[in-house]
Amino acid sequence: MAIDRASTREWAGAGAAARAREASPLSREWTGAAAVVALLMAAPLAYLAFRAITGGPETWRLLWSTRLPGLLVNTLGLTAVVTAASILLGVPLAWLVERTDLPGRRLWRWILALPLVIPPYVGAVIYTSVFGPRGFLEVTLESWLGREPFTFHLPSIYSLWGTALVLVLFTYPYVYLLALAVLRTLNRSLEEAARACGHRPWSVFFRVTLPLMRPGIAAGALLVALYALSDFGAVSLLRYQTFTYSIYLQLTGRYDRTAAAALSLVLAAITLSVLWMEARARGRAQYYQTASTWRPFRPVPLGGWRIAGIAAVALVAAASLLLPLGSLVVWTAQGLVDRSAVAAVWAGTAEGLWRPALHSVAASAVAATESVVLALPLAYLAARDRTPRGRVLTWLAQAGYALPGVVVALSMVFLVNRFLPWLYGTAAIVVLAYVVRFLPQALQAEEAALAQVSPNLEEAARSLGRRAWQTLLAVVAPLISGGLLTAWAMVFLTALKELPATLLLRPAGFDTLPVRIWMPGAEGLYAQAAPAALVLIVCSTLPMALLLTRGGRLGLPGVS
Amino acid sequence: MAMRWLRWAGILLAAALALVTVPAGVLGQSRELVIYSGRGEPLIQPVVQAYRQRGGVNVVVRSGPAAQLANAILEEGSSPRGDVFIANDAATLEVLRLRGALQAYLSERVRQIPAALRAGDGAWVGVSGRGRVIMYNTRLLAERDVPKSIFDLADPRWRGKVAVATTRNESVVAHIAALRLLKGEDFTRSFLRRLKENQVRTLPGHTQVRQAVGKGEFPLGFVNHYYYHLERQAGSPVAVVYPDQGTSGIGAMVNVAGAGIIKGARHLSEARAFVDYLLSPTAQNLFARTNFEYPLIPGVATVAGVRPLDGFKWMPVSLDRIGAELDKTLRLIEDVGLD
Repeated sequence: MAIDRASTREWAGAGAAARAREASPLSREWTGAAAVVALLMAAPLAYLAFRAITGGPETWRLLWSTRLPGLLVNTLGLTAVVTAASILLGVPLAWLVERTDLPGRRLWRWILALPLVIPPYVGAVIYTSVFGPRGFLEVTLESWLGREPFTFHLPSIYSLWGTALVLVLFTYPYVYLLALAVLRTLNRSLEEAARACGHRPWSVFFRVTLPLMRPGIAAGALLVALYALSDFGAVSLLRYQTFTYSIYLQLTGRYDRTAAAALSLVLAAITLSVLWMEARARGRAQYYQTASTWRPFRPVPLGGWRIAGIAAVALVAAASLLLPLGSLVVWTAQGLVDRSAVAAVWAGTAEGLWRPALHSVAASAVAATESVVLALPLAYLAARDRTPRGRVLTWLAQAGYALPGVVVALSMVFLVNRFLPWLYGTAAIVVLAYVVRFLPQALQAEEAALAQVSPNLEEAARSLGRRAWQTLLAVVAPLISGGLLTAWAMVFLTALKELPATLLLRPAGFDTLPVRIWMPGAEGLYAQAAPAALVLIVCSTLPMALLLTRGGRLGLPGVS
Repeated sequence: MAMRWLRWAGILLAAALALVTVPAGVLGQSRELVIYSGRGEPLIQPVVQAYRQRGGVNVVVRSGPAAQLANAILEEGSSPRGDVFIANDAATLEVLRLRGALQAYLSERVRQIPAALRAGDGAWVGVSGRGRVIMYNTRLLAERDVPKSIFDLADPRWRGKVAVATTRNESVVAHIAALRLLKGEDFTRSFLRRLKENQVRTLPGHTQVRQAVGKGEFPLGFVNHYYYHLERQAGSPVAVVYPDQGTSGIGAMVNVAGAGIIKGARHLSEARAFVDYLLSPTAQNLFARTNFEYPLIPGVATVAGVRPLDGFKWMPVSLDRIGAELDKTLRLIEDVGLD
């Protein structure tokens, strides 16, 4: 279809192109609206770049001679380790529950996706308390081994490996879910043909299945890599210096923001290059299959490996689900028994938990609604207008995707102070930051939904005299309502878990659940952090279930 | 079809509900007091909570690092959202005073505070005092081995064994600023360089430092004195050294946590009442008893077991001078690249 248009345009010249655009259902107002939204979304990044570059060469020279090399090594190292480990964990797990006769695989399929409801900073709070110095494990082992106190030490959790472990345990589901989605739709006959040619199961997996899964794995790995680059909560609790943490320290401890802006620009550049590499990798690898030949498959018998398979999935589920949830429940229960802890929870949050919960849900709901509405003209443009103009605008609107929370917060501070000072210190700026960061998710979901609506329907409505907006409301909206709901749930879910931008931008009295988890968690007050974490997980479960059950089009929450 | 519209109605309802509740949550009641608190939450909550229980005013707190909130106050400028700023360090308050972001308040209670521990014009006032001390884990170090001077911390013997709070922390910055005033820029720069080469570990805050020392992760930590007492209260095997005490020593740094009323505060009378409350015997007792801090008004005693303020040698640097020199100090720290 795209090729058709391009070649037509080539020989028919500009006149035909103009006519093609006229015939498209996009009115000028739509394109204008899309352009406004795209520019708004790109403004923070642009202004940040401006501030960083005009900061002067002295800032850059100083950063290069002091912080930058270490931050680059730490950040890139962590991202590489976490991404690789997530693939090594997520792909075999997906294969196990989808392609083998693993007992209980239907149940495991669900369980292994669930760690997504636990934000990594909650995981970090739990892992530091259990595996940290004088933590549960160290003290228990010490007494078992009969060692003198303070003479027995576990390897430090405050290290690259500890940080990577926590991030992997709570982000591998991105790879796992996308690998699972590919496996479910993969044409079975390719694998069967390979087996008929005499390949053993392992050989089939490595030579046929794995290459076919590559685009899916790459998409999942991209989400993990973006998460590792943007994570602030877990790395700060695990004291691992990456860009986000260093930017946060600069923002909260210095009056001059030039260095923070410069570091943010470097981080945004790294993120953009990761996106670019993934786009290139995906662009080259194209696999096609016809749906009509799909049929159910015979599972690979695990045989003697069955025990090992069960042990593997059980271990992952224990580390990423059972241990965190169990600890949270125990701490909450301890808090309920211990009067002083109850008082601390009450005092720490002033109004207990319901206010932060209300703030979280309200701000996320508003942000999700605004994102879904604002992304609509852009999604329309992306799905219908395949001219360079359409592509540029869609790309601009995705800028937020490249921006970690601390960077969005910094650019909002810059931008709002310069142009909209009355917004500063209100809840609106928090919502705005969510929209800038998470609108790209809504855009992708809506674009996917729109791509399935034939333009003919709209053209028919238009030819019957309906205006563009009438067509949208009466014809398109009902057809894509499922996609809109997915988009809404995705933005809601990620906004609900958002920590760094909220931490930096929230007005007085507008603490959200993540803030109420991170602040006591950083002080080692687990009894105070646990109830908020449980409430957050409960709030996340409903939209998550909605996303996971939306069948083959496995909608996936993005980075937060 | 009907199901779809039902879902849509639900979403719209949720959005409308959110739009109504968000502003309500922010604006709240009219008799209100908005506190920007740069102190650790557990250290300020008891006092705020006690003030809440007196009733009459809806107290809203925004907690965060003091410098971040100071930045926010400067950025909010002529339309401030906060009324009272509480900082964990006098220099941060002085920075705001110098930039005209605080307003004077010289009530009788404020005048009770020694002149050295408040701004002359009453723009900010010290509320509680603290000394900067070395704490150590008694399971890992014997008393005779513990360094007696902060300059010993750069000794290769303690390589990788000292935990301090990050230089984002205002108390740490003020301490470095005091050193710079007393010993000069070059001396301080080389001291910081040697600390960095000696792999001093910077943790996110003092609570983490005291916990790390208490757990034996590091034998030595450099903290405000009350963190040592809090860790001891938590049952950890820790002890304290007030550094640089000999006749040739420079003395231990003394700083205050303080409060100032933000210029243009929307709830001025509530703000003034709260500052006076912070200097009341009730609040001073809370600071002394629950936090082990030094009370600053006459008639309220330091808690037993805490070395009193007049019981050790102070570093001879005045707090308002530190505030004026803060920018240069921050530049020095960035120059060295200490985290």
